[in-house]
Amino acid sequence: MHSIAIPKLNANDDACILTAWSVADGERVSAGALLAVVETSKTTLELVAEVDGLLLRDFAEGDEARVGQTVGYLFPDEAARAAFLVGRAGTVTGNSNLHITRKARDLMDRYRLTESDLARLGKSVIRESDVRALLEARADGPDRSFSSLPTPTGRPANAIELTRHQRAVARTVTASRREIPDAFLLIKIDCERALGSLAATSATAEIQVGLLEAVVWQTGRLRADYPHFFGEVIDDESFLPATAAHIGVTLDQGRGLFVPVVRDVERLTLEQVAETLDEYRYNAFRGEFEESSLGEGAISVALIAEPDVVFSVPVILPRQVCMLSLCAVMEEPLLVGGDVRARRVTHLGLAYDHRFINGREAGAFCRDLKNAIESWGEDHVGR
Amino acid sequence: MHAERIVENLNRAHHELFGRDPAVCLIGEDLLDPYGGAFKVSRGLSTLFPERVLSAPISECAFTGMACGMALAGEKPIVEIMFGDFIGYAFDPLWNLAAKSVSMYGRRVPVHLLVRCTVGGNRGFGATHSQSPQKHLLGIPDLDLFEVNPFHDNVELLAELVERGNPVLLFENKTLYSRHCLREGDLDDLFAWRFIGPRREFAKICIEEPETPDAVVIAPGSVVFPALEAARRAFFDREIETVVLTPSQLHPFPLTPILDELARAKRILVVEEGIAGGSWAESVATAIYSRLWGRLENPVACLHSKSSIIPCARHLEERVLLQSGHIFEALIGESVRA
Repeated sequence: MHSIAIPKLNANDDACILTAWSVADGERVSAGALLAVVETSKTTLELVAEVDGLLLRDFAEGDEARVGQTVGYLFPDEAARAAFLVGRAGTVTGNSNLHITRKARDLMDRYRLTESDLARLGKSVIRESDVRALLEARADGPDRSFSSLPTPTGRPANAIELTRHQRAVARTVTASRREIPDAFLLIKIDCERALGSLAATSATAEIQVGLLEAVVWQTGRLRADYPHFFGEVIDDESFLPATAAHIGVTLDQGRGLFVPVVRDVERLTLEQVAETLDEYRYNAFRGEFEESSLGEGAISVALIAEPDVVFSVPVILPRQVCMLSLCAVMEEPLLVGGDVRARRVTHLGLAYDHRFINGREAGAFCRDLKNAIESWGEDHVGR
Repeated sequence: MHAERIVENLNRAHHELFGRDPAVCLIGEDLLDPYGGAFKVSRGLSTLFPERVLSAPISECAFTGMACGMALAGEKPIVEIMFGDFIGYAFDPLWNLAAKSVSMYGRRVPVHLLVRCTVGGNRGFGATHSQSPQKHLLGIPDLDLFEVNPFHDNVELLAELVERGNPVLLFENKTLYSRHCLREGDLDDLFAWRFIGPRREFAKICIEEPETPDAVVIAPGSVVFPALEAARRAFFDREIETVVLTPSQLHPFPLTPILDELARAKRILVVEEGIAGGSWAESVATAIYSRLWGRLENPVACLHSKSSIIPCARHLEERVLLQSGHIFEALIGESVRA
């Protein structure tokens, strides 16, 4: 890819007007060809292609471009041009007409408000006070994490500041640790049988169906027996059970941590769960999600896929009551009547809010999940 | 689409004046077509009005003195000083002849003299072609100082100045020539502007007209652009609500139209590209203190370029001349540059 930048045109102009492109978007040009005409305060000048390539126009005719600004690109072929466009789509976020201050953005992140929520205010400039007004107007009102975190000031110049996305993560986990008295339980699951069955399912369904999919699917089916594991914390003493098994799944493909929600898992087949997660993995890879897929889950699952991870305490998402973690699959020796044979196992963790769940129930929940996975049968397919 | 560039606006201002008033003429260096002046403000004039454009030898003292004499004889000469760094040569005729003549004869003698003076850096022109000499001409009785900005229309301004009756110095920052004139209303995606004052003395630029701004920045000429850049950053980073006020007239400074605006602000900045020490910004700050003492929440911050020669190399020049980063720091109250 070759960037087309506005050169320094003369001593007096820091900018020029791109009067007209001479080549259509997507057209192939040879090095030396005229690309565009620009106008400075003194004269009109020609922008010429420095290399052969397919043009991507990235600047509107008639607008003013700064010296050094990139106004377009040349690509060796259509595939490279298309790949660039796809990659860039992932970095474009929301409604570009809104001007949102950093304080407003922080508050939006904390309450998971989107630009579309703010767009309803009919304002183009969004300050912190606008976000507060919106939150206060909402029926549920601001929750306890509303008390603002101190704004860091006077950072040294070489300090690394968190990305906006990671700041949102930071606020969430801080609120969780501050407010939720959690306990933790870890159970070992023999997954030899399930893995064999899931491999067969994957081959038939032509989609990856692994332990995560099985755990999500099976967890949904536990809601009827364990209603107080699914839902929303109202205050220290009350809890609103969920009416459907919306299950959040943590995904991090290097573009930031996301917790998209698989909705209504009880009504989905295993394959549908797999298809949804497949789509979410792709979204996580591109770093972009539909607003609807990032709503509140009733319970969440964290996958720690690194080999040899045996123990992971998840941070319960604020307002949820528990969170599962699924660790790596590993082989271990098993004694069967004096013989040694290999089996594959995984570890399933459950962090739970001890205000609402006691150890006995947590153990029972994990035991039921373990039993379901260990007795995994072909009959789950398509159900 | 785009409004005319400021250099085109100034050029049109001359053409309209010349067409309307035969007493108007232009004197300076290298003005004749096809060159049309170092910054092209006089382009086309010598072709249309050959007898009224005088391209003089390099002697600011001589041709400014000559213009003073013409003004006293009832003409309306305009002088172009190609680089304001050399206004020192013209200081004596301006100080002791043009300005004095208005009042020293026992009756008021109108002196229709306009001296246009290109100033400012950020162009890599070096120590003797980049300075902002406004302060050296400040406070001379009957010598009025104005500065070109992107808001006030120069066609109206020049017509007013040649009729003023006081000799006038009009400073033109050279980075403005290639900029576009701005029309009242939206300035960009964030800022909007309008004139304020009974005689439209100031352009007021802000986001949604804050009732009690965190800061008011008085920024003449080209420094309005770094001021706006700083105001934008301060708004997004800290929600600091800034009002930028750009005057056309530097001296005598029209303080009254903006007193209420200043009294409501938590912080006042006066910024200029010149250097401190008997500066324009300091004189404005003094005037503000005398009118608003007891109502100010913070000291008035005067921001200048560093007290230094101006280097030729652009990256070094940027370290000396006032930039948006300095204004930003002052807006957030973290440091004030001497």
